[in-house]
Order: sequence, then structure tokens, then C-alpha cells
Amino acid sequence: MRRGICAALFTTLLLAGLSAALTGCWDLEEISEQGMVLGAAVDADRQPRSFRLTLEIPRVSEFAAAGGGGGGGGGRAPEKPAWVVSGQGTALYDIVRQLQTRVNRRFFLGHVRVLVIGEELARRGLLPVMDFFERNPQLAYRTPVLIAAGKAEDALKVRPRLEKLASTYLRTLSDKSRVAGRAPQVMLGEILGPLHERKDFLLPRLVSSEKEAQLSGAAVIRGGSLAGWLSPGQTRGALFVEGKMAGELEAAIGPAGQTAVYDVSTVHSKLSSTWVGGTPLIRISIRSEGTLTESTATAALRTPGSILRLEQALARQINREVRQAVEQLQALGADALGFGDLLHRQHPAQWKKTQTRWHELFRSTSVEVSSVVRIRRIGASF
Amino acid sequence: MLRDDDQIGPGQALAVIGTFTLGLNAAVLPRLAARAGADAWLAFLAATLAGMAAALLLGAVTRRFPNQTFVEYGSSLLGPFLGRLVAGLLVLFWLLILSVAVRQFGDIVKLYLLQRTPLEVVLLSLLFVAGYAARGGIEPLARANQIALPAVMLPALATFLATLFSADWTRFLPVLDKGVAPLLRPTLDLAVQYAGLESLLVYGAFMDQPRAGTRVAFWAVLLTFLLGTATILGTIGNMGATETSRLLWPSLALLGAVQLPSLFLERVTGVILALWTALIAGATAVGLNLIGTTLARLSGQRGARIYIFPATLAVFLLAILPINVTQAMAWMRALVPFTAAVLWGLPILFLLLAGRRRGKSA
Repeated sequence: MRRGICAALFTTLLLAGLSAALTGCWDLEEISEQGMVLGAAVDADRQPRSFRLTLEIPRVSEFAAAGGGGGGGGGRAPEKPAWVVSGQGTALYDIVRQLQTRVNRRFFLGHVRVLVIGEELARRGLLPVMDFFERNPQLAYRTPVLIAAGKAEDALKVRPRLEKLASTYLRTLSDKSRVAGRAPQVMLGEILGPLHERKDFLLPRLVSSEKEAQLSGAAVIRGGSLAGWLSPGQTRGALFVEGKMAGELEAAIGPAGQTAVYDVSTVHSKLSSTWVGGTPLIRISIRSEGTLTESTATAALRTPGSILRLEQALARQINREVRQAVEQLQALGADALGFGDLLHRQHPAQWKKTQTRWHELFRSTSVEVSSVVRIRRIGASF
Repeated sequence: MLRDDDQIGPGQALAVIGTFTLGLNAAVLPRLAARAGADAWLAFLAATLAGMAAALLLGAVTRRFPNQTFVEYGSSLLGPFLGRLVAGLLVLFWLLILSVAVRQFGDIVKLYLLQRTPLEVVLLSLLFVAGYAARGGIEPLARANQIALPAVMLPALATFLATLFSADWTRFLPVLDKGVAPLLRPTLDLAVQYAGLESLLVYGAFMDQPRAGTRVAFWAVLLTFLLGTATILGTIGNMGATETSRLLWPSLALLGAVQLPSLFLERVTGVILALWTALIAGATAVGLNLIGTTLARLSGQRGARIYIFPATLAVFLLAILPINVTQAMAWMRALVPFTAAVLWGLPILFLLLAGRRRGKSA
């Protein structure tokens, strides 16, 4: 009998203890008390090794009111939908903690939509600021990274016309860059490896004004820091080589300079390499299929021959843009298209002999481009 | 009616041994493999062959001594003193690897889920559940894991295989760029991740078909190989070997880095963490039962029950001992030779001694 009572008591205490543990009380965090960070921008500060971090924290109450309100209103002046707050310091975490002395809600980085890095900081080097993002598992690796031409802070201060928040605006813009084809979309997780390996790569270039921002062209990162830019056309060439091009391509057709516009649906690129004498030769072959979306030429496209001529003009345009991209990258000495890796994979023995002087060799590497374009659809008229 | 006679079938033995092995190693494979660079898959393949060799050896020992744990046949082969010493060392070994695995679990939970909850609370809540389950004996444990293991394995495998769609396979080229020598250390580090198979030295005695021992150990190796291959190819294929080797928990980082095809879930990391918690709880329960059973056999007791609580306490104390994760990993590295001796040395020793005795009696 006594044993039974003891057992019952024990079980009751156990259940009470377990249900208390279920709440996870140490980590209890009311969502209304969190300061959700939606966008982060990092700039170089005036001091040498010091940074300026800008965070966008939305005013959640603003959104709740807008959702439930509907008609009426009036009278109350529209408040800013977010607080854009900046601070300086020599390490990002330090700045976050400093900002916490001004922002009364605990920062939560799990919903960061976009990460913008300023031009000057990019020129100094990206690696020092990356440790913060790598070490903090809150921040998703699938966050797009943008390089601002000028200050990154300004990008978060844009008051977009169709969105309430600059961060959501920039994020959706970045997602649409796949359609526009004039800037790459690159996620945080994709650049950490190359940065540690001191490899060269491209990041999207962001230009912003007071009311809008534009993604156009690419930042060329060489050995971890910004070396220069690719124009939108050159970026398109680079995207063709990477097989990531989506969006549209226009080419002049005929002597009168009319334009045909082609919407890319698929791109396959194949890179091969050989050694001619002491220098490498890279062969790039690109196959693309898509839709003709516009032609300013007056002649109707009734014959396969006329389409074929368009396809050839477009293929020449691809070749031109690829060559321009390669020339610009060679001028900058940045092997952002991974020719070095290609040689390493395809000719490991030769690579070992030349890898130490690869950066010089890269500038004089010859590149041959050949493209095939297939127009599969021509829209609703000839 | 379910039997309760401390006898387990081959499927149940696989559930026990597979859970134990996977629970100990699942989180660390990609990081260790990435040290081999682009040849990580080769290192893992070689390690798996070594794991299969261990499975064959352990299976042979089980066949040779049906219905006996290594405590009994160890004493008869090595003499009572040495036999007991080996059993005692093995108990120590299991306490150590279990505490390292439990500590890793605690560190991951603190990093990803419960930042402000004390490590002790995280560990105790796991160990309490595992210890309670371990007290029931081998049969209920086997039945529970028979449900839990597939429930963990299938979604985890599906998730990590899905990450392969976005993998860049050129990251695995060129093959053997720097020769075989740089692969040796990663291969050894990966091979000892098959620790857990040696639980067959104890659980072989509870199998109703001791001849199935080899098959069971083989399947346990295969389970680890499948999940290991998926996570290694996924992490290195998507993030590259350099980044993978820099990350503490690359498999979890991978889930945040890739967009899984046709998956509407935004944060898969939480789901995988939940599955992994179930796996590690099962593995801890098996480990505690293993330690308890060995100690019971050593002391001539019938049941393992009375040893479970002290073993739980010991694992807890060992698990909170390392100052930080780097020290816990230093422990893991220090255990490598010990593990190798247990996985390959011990069964070979038993088989040799048994063969010699058979020769003598003939």
C-alpha cells in the first residue's frame, strides 16, 4: 500500500517535471519581443579594419494594422514600416551587441532576406566579415549576397514603391534576376568555399537611389576582394559560360540594324581544355534553346531559312558577349569562370607544373567560343 | 503475444546494432571525409570495406560462440583475469564513445535549438529517457528501435539524397590528385566510425539465430554506408571539400544551403534535428543497456538493471567534462587506436585463440 502511494507520488512529480521541461523555458522567447532582422548591409568604416553594419528591422505592428484595417483610416500620418539602424565597430557581433543598447528587442537573424556588401569593404576584402555569418547558424546559407556600387547602407534605405520594406524589395529583385539575365544570383553558402580557397567568382552588382534599386552587372571578386565590374552584357556572357543564363538576349539582324529578341529557356555549356605549346586553350561550346519574342525587322519569318539566319545572328551575339566577358576577366586577372579548375581536372599533371604562375598564364590563355542557338517557338505571328 | 525471453531475431538485432552504430557516427562523417578533399568518397569507400571486414570478423566470433557474450568466452579463452580485464576495458570504451556522442548531441542542440538552456539539462533529459528505456532489457529496446530506425532512416536518406540534385560533380575531380598518402588518415578516421558493430560481442548471445550475426553486422555497415554516402556527396558536392571540412556540422549547414527540389518546407534543419534526436536517444539507450549487460555478466548478476543508473551517471559526467567541442573532438581522436583494437584486433584475437584450442583438442 505504502509502495503504491510512493509510486503514485513519484509518477506525479515526474509528469510535472517532464511537462515543465516541455516548455523549453530557458529559451522561451515571445515572438512579439523579437527584433526580426530582414536585411543586413555591411560597409567599410573610415577607420582601417572597422565596419559599419546596418540592419533593417520591420515594425511588425505596422503590418498587422495594415492587414486588418481596410478602408477608412486617414488622419494618421504613415509611419516608416521599418527601423534602419546602423553602428560601427571592429567586428560584426560587437556591432550587433552595441546596437542592442539602442534597439529594445532581441535581434533574430533567422529571417534575413538579403545581405548587401558595400563597394569599399568589398575592395578591402570579404573574408573578415564572413566569419560572423559562417559561425552563426541562425543565418540561412540560402541568403543572396549583393555588392552595392557605393554604400551598402543606402540600399536598405531605399523606399520602394511596391513593397513596404527595402529587404523584401531587394530579395524579390534578386529572385527576378534569373529572369532578367543581367546579374547573377549568388547565395551566401556558395561563396564561403571559394573565399576560403582564394578562388575568383562573380557577385551581383546593385545600384540604388532613393526610391529604387537596380541589379545590373556583376562584381568580380579576385582572391577575396573586389577587383572590378562586368557590364550587364559581359555578365550575360559569363552566365552563358556557366550555363546559368536565363532571360533574354537581343541581337542586331540585317544591315539596317534591326533587333531580334530571344528568350532563353535552356542553356548547356561545355568547357574543354588543351595545351598548345606552353599555353592553355579553353574551348567553350554553348547550346541554347528558346523563344523568339520580338523582331523589329519588317520581313515576316515564314521560312526555316529566315529563322536560321536569326539563330546564327543570336549565336554570334552570344560568342561576342562571352568573348567580352572573358577579355574583361583577363584584364582584371580574375579567373571567375573557373578555367584553372578546368585545367586542374582535365590535365592534373600539367596543372601541377603551372599552377604557381596560373594568374599570369590566365591573362594570356586563348579562348575559343562556339554557340548554337535553336529557336523553338516564335510566338503568335510570323 | 510478444515474447519476453531476452531473445531477439535478426531484424531486431539489426535494429539494435544499426541504431547504435548510426547514432554514434551519423553526424561526423562528412567533416571527417572532407579532409580527403575531392577523394572523400574514395576514403569512405575504403573505410566501409574495413567496416565490412570488421562485420565479417565479429559475425564469425558470434557463430563460433552462440548464446555467449564475450565476457564468458573471453574468460575461457584468455583466462579469468585477462578476460575480465578486456571486458572492463570495453565497458570503459563504451562509456567514452557514448559520452562523446552524447556531448556532440548536446552541442548541436545548444547551437541550433536551445541556446540558453544549460548543457547539463539538455544532456540529462536525453540520458534520463535513454536510461529508462535501457532498464527494460534488450527485447523492448529492440522492438522500439525496429520502429524508430526505419522511421529515422527513410526520411533522412530521402532528404540528403534530394540534395544531390544540386550537387556539382566536378568537385570530385580530379581523382587521386595528390596520390594515396593523404587519404590514409581520413580513411582510418572514417573506418573507426563503424564503432558500434562490436556490440555484437554482447548481443550475439541474445540472438535466436546466432548464424545470422554476420548478416546483421553487414546490414548495419550498409545502413551507415548509405546515409554516409548521401551526406558526404551532398555536402561536398554542394559546398566543396574546403568549406565542408571547416564546418562543425556540415550536414545541417547543407540543409540551409540548398533548395530541395519540390519541397515546400522552408526549414528542413529542424526536421532532421528531430529525427537525429530520436536516433541518438535510441543509440544511447542501446549503449547504456550494453554497458549494463556487460557489467551484469561480469558480476554474475542476472539482470542489467542495477547497473543502468550508475552507467547513465558516468556517461553524463564524462560528457560534461570536455571544456568545449574541440576538446570533445580531441577525445574522439584519442579513441581512434582504441576503437581499431576493438573492431578488428579483438575478434581476430578471439578467433585465433579459439582456432588454437580447437586444434589442441583435435
